[in-house]
Formats: sequence, structure tokens, C-alpha cells
Amino acid sequence: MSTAAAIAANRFGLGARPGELARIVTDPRGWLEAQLSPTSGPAGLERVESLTWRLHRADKRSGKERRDISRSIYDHEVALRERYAATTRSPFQERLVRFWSNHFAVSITQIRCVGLVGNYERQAIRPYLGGSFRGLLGAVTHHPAMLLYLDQVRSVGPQSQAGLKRGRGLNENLARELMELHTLGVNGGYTQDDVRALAEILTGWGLEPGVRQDPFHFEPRRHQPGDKQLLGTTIRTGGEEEGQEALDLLANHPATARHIAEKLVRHFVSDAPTKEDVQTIADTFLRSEGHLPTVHRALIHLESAWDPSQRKLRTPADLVCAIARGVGYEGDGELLVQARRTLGQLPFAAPSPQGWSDHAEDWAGPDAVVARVDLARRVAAEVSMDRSVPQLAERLLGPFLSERTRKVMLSLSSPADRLSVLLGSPEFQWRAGVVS
Amino acid sequence: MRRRQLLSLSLAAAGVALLPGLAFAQAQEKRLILVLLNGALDGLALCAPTMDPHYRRQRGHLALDGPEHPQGVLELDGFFGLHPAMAPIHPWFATGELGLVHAVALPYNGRSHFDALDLLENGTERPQGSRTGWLNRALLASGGSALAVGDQLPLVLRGEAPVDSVDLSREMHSDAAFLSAMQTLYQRDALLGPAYTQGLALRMELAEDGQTMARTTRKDLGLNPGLARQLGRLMAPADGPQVAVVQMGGWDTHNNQQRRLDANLGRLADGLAALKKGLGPRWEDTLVLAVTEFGRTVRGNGTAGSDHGTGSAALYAGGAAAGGVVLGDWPGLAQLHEDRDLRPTTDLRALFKAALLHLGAPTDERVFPGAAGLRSLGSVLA
Repeated sequence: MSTAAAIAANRFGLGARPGELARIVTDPRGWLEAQLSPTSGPAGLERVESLTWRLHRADKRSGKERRDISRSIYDHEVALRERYAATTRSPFQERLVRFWSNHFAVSITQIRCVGLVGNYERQAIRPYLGGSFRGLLGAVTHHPAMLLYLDQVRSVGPQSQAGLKRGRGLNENLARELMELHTLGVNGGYTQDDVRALAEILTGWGLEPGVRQDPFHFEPRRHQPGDKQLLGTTIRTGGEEEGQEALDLLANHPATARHIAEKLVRHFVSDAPTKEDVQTIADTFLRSEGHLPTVHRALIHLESAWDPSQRKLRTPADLVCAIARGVGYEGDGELLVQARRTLGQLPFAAPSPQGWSDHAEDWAGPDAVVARVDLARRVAAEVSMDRSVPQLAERLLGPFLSERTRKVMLSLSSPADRLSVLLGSPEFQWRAGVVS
Repeated sequence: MRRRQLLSLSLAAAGVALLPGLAFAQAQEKRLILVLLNGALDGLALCAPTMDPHYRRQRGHLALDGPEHPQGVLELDGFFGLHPAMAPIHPWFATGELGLVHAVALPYNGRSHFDALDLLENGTERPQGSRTGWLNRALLASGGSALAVGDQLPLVLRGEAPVDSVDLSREMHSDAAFLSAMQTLYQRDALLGPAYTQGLALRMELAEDGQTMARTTRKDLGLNPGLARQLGRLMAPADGPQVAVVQMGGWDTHNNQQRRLDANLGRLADGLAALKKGLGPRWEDTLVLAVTEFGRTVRGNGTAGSDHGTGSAALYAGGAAAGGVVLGDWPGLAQLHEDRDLRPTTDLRALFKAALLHLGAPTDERVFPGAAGLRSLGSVLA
């Protein structure tokens, strides 16, 4: 089994399904290149749609009822999402969805986001990965989940009509994270004055209550009047348009290209990206004006990505998905959500707007590592193996299966014991790369 | 420590290289356990000023009976009474192992849980003011070790200082034999190997019978007795973690406050009692702080509960505590903050500073930026 196929399926994909390596072995890079366009995503959302409808009708009902419905929507959304990831034939595209969803993190730690996070990914992330970064940035910044999560709905221009009347003021949360996390990066050269200016520019961006389809709403009475200075550029007074201009400025900024490039390389290649790799991706970003498929394609062509000694630890989310794919899971997804909860990475529950960490150390705490092995044991006890486990190991890990793990597997007789060893082995915890 | 010795023997017999069990920095005597009561605890219910002349009028249906009633509050100092559900640890007040601080608050005027919790943990004067926590910054300077209990590292412990975490409520199902056998595979992994060994030792330590890793505690109970006793046992040894942070929710009592506080405060008291048991003699070196992000409205709302307020109360306990008093300047209930909340008189960070003094850790600008002038509430320490 070729090393390149194992790298394509595990480093860029979500873990091999049985048979995947054999299918892609002739052209692993071509297999990845064919996954650069958006997919339709999970099907079977009728139940979610009807619940969303109920939620809107429940506007005047009790908070508890709203919370219960939101929770139901969340449960359905994430089960379908995890099931989709476990079964998709475009795992690289799905990894990209998850990368961007985490880059523009929203979280159910903000209770009003619970019923919205699934919709956020389906409508503001997924369809935009075939276009430009600017398009994606616009979609996420307009989505109610983001406007609620980062308190934009509470922000009022101090000199706006509403601000003067009720003595209310700015909330800088979204403005700060837009620059620090979403675009320029923390060392991207902006100041506190820029944060304030961007907060003023964005005043008025909020939600229209009770509107089902497109709840984004610009409220002129909350908008701070006057010209603003953002990153040395004058944004002329222009209401809602000011925000669009600011997003244009941020999306095409060289600091944004660098920040995005570094995050992408860290996610796919190495916890410690090299300057050269970051430069390559940043250049591609600027040259293509942030055309995402072009940027994503450039990742596939980084030489370092195909170096077998480069390794990235699977996050719990990745591990659960890789286990599910490895054993050919076909269930409804609920078990996968439970497993993610056990390992401390419930979908859309990042503890802060920074999203989940992409550093191995953050996922390698003592208890967390034992919990991975424990999960492997539990899964193995419940899966009935009708094929040879050592053979499955070859088909999932290819050349990355260590001789030691193979020997321990062969020393055991029951398929369940062998499968626990395979799924709990150190090499299964890594996306690709030799155990070292 | 018999358990650890037994485990060492069995691993040695299995041909596994022995690594230190819980490799927490150097031995340190003092212990701090910070309990974050997330959701805004009603300080006036925890520590009720039943003798305040305006108490009954202002609290209305939320007012608790005085200590003279069989179901009433438990006598503290003749003015304040402790919530009856705290009975398991009420005797500690007399022995000086329990104290309270009233009318505490953060430098924060809003009423958002999210912002207030963020500020409580980041140690600055504004929400999102720092991505690291004050306790982590202090430990980075002092070299102390810390353990977070739960799924995720709370902000207060996030930062450059390395922190361990264990989800004591996570059930593990595997047999010890399997987990031990897997150690031979993990030995060769530079990152996962040491973590696996340490994690396995921790689980073995926790396992009551040495055969099963299963835990039966539920996740949402915070500091429940089983978890608290285990935490105490983990922290007791000389090389155990110096600091632990536990999060306990369920305090956002917008409705049915009485029933919910009966249950939740009872659980907190049982948890603290179990913690003391688990700590054994280490209790003498221990300070426990239980704090919340803000208080609740003095008057009840229309659903037998209370809404987000300002001033609340904090609890401190332990052998290292100078208890037996209710500290803080009591602002009275005649005048309320914005005509609804208890007026705060003590900055919660003064209490945090005292906790850091207890550890011998710094309390300066690195830890609490902008609070250089704020004096620590040293009187909580024995």
C-alpha cells in the first residue's frame, strides 16, 4: 500500500474507510484535487426544518420551550453532520468545512446559539468554500449565530439615535475577533483605535426579530454616524456599506493572507509550520485574491505535506470520525456525538471564539490519552468484525502500521481484542506519520 | 499510597518500565481549591442577613426563617445565618474552618454571565481582557502545579504554565489489564507515551478496587461527594497538585429558587465535607474558595426566583482558613444598587489575592493588571 495514499486519506482526509486506500492508490493527489468543490452536505434535514419553524412560532412562548426546541435542533444537526463525515466520499472537502467552521468558531457555550450552529455551518460555511475568502467572511459575519455569539446584537453607536436616547454604547467583541481571529491575526498590526473604529463601523448590524429566512437586519438608528479611520484608511459615512468596505479591506490584507496561511499549514501539515510553507500559501492567497479552492489546492502541493515523518495528532473529533470510518459505521450519528462528548470535544462547543486548538499538546493530557484507548476498547466490544483485523489494519494505516502493534494484535485471538489494539494504538491517534 | 505501590509492582511484573506516577512539579505544602459556582449564586440565600431590619421587606417571598425556627437558617454570628442546606459543614464555622465574605463583586457593571465569568477568570478589568487566566499567570511565576477537574481547561487556568486536567466524572470502561498492556505500545511515542503512563497511574489511583476503571458519577453535579473525595485524595500527597479548579453550575435560579438551592447547596456542602475527608491531614494546608460571577436581585421575581444582580457572597474554608466570621462591609438592604441589587463593598480579586498569598504566589500587575492598589483580604488566612 503506498505511503502517499495513506497520507492522502489520513492527513488530508478523515481517516480511511476500508477500501479507500486501494481506490486512491493510483493517484492520491488527483483524488484530493477532485474534492475542492463544495458538497451538498448532510441530507435528511426535514426534521430540523420543521423544528426551526416551531422555534419561530414559539417566539412568544416560554424560554424553556425555546431552549428545548433549540436543543432538539442541535441534536439532529450534529448527529447528521457526524454521520455525514463518517460516510462521505469527499473527506478532504469535509475536513475543509470543519477547518473553516472552527476558524470562524461559534459555540453553544452561548446559549442562544444552540439552535443555530448547525445552520451556520450548512449555510454560511459549506457553500462558500468554492469561492473567495471575502465571500466566506461576509457570509459568516452576517449569520445570526455569529452576530449573537460575539454580542454584535448588543452594540449601539454612542452617538446614534438609539445610543443618545438610551445611553447605550459599543460592544467591541465582534470587531476585535474579526481582526484578531478571523482576519489579520493578533500581530496583524491593528490598534485599539482600529478595534473601536471597526466596532463603530459595524453598529447597526443585527437581527430582525421573527423573520425566518434572512434574519440579518441593519438598523440605522443604532449606527454610529460619521467617517471612521480603519487601518489608516478612511471609511466614509455610509451606514451598512461601511461594514462591507471594512470587510473588503480586511479580507485582502497581507496580514490576513499570512494568518490564514499559517493556520491552514498548521492544521494540515505541522504544529510548527515552516516560514517557507506559510509564505507559499500566503502568496497563493494574495495572488488568487483569496480564491479558496486555489489556496486549498496549494496545500496539496506542499512537499512537506507528503513527508512521512511529519505528524499531526488527531483531535478527538478526528479520532471519533476515523474510528467510525475505519469500522465502516453506518448508524445515525448519535453515538459519534456521544463519543465526542466523552473525549471533551462536543461539536460546536469550543470554549472560546478561538475555536478548538490545533496543537497536539492541548489534546494529549494524561487522562485524555487514556480516554482515547478506553474509547477504542468500547467500540471494539460493540462492533462485530466479520473480516480479519490485521488485514483491516493494513487497509486503514498502510505503511504506518507499526510492526509492534501488528505483533501485539496477532498475539491476541479474539477479533474484539485485536480491534481494540488497532483503534487504540498510538499510530491510530496520528493522522499520518510514524510513531516517534 | 498502597494503591500506587501495588500498581508499580504489577506494571514491573508486566515488564513495563516504571515512570513516576503523578509527575507534578516539586513537593509543595499549600493547597488551593477554587470552586467556580457558575451561573450567579444568590449570596443572600447562602449567607442570609436575617437580622437586617430591611431583610424581610426587601426579600419578600425569598426571605428565609431565622435560626430560631427548626427549618430556619443556621446561626453564624447573630446577624447572618447560613442556608440550612449547608448543615453538613456548619460546624466548621465554630471551629474556624469556614468563613464567608459578603457583598463581594467583580469590577463589572453588566449582568452577562458570559462577560462576568470571563472577567472573573481572566483577572483583568474587562471581559475578553486576556486569553490567559489569573491563576495560571500566578503559577507561571511561582512554579506551582495545577489540576483542572472536568472536560475543559477553565480560562482561569489557561496560559503558559502547564496544567494537568482530569475529567473525574468521565467513565472508563476498559479493564486494567488491557490498559496496562497498551502501555507497551505507547512507550515509544514521545508525546503520548509519558502522558499515557501518567494518565493510567492516575486512573489506577482512582479505581477503588484496582480492577475496573469505571466511574459512576454524573457529569452535571460539579463538586459531588464521590468526585470531591477523589480530588482530595489526589491532592493529599506531598507531590500532588498544589491547585485544583472545579466548576459547578446550576445557580442561575430564575425560578423555583428554594427547591433548587436546597439541592445544589446541599451538594456543595456534601462535596466540601467529602473533600476534607479525601485530603486527610492535608486539609490543614488547604484553602478552599467558592466564588460566583455576580449576585442576584434582592427582591424575588414573578417565578419564585431571582434575576441577575451585582453583589454576592463568597465562601472560604479549610484548615488554613481563619473562619468563624462573616467578613466584608455590610452595605445594608435599605439602599440597593440600581434599586435592585446588593451594593458591592469588596472586590472579589482581594480574595483571590489572599488565596495567592496562601500559595506564596505573586499578586502583582502580571496577575491582576490594573489592580496594584487593591489590597488582599488577608484576614481570610489563619
